[in-house]
Amino acid sequence: MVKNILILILLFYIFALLQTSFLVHFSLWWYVPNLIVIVVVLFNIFNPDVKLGVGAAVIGGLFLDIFSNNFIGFWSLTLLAIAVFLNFVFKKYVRIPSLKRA
Amino acid sequence: MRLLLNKKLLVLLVLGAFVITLANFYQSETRNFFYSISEPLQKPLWAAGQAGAGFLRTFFHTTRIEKENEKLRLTVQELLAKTAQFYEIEAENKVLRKAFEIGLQEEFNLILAQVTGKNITEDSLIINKGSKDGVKNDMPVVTQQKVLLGRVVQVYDNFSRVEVPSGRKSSFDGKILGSEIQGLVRGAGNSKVTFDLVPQYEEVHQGELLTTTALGGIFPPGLLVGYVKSVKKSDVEPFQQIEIQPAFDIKQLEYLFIITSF
Repeated sequence: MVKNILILILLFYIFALLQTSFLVHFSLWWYVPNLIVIVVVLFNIFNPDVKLGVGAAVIGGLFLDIFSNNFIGFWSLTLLAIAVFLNFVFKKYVRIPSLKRA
Repeated sequence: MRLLLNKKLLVLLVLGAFVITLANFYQSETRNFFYSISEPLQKPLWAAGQAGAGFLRTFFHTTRIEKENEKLRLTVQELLAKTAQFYEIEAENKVLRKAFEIGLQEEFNLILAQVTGKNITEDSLIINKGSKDGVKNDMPVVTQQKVLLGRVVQVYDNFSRVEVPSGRKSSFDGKILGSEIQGLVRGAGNSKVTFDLVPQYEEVHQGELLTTTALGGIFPPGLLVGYVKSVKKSDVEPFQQIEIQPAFDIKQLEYLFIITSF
């Protein structure tokens, strides 16, 4: 678990850097895809480990907060809410045959 | 609900909330720390992003770039044309200034013209002033140094043809400067000019200057024609054979003055 968390921290840090330094040059009509949000959403949909999904949301949110102008916590709380919601919906109403949620 | 009931998760959430609150209190310090450790990584990423985006832009906007290039090429051509015009004006200005220094303008009524064509084999020039500018047949043409270039032999609306003294049809009265020796300056073609009708007894020396006279009324007196290149005396001939070297180089001519009245 700790190892996974460390990997997530490193991964999201790299994503945050990519988003703020690299992807800004590839904006389409002033829109830059939010890599961290996309990864968090996909991670929570396809990863059966709920705790890790929620953790990823908080970590990803924190990095987004640091590299944005909002107060620290804005993105981490938003992504946390999204992660909880997704896990709740996917656990209750959606069944992906190959995935079994913990 | 089981999620919230999980004690460990609850502790983690509380801890997370605490960290977030603390980070908000030290917002600037937290951000500053992350920005400073990220800067060395962000710089190459930024450069790579710029290069990649530049490449993609070039790739996707080839047509637009081509159009822009064409537009810029036209602008460059326009600017080059303007520069050439400026150079021309500058050269014209220099010629006029020199003419004023010599006092040509005070002595004669002049029209400044530019040589647009040269026919060296026929010893004639085409100039860019014609009847619309007030040019008439037989008007004398000189350089800014008061050197005789010839006379206008044909006038068109906007252009004129000038025959230089070496032209085969050209003949007028001339005089050796500083003496009373007079004769007929005759064009022999191929840039050659002779000084005829000078009796054998007259002493003409190589290098002496030849000027126009008022006789005949074609040219104003005192215009430099050239200098004596060679003198041949023969007992058989009644006159000396004197060859004149014109004082101008037809190949170098660019600006000249047409004397409208003298």
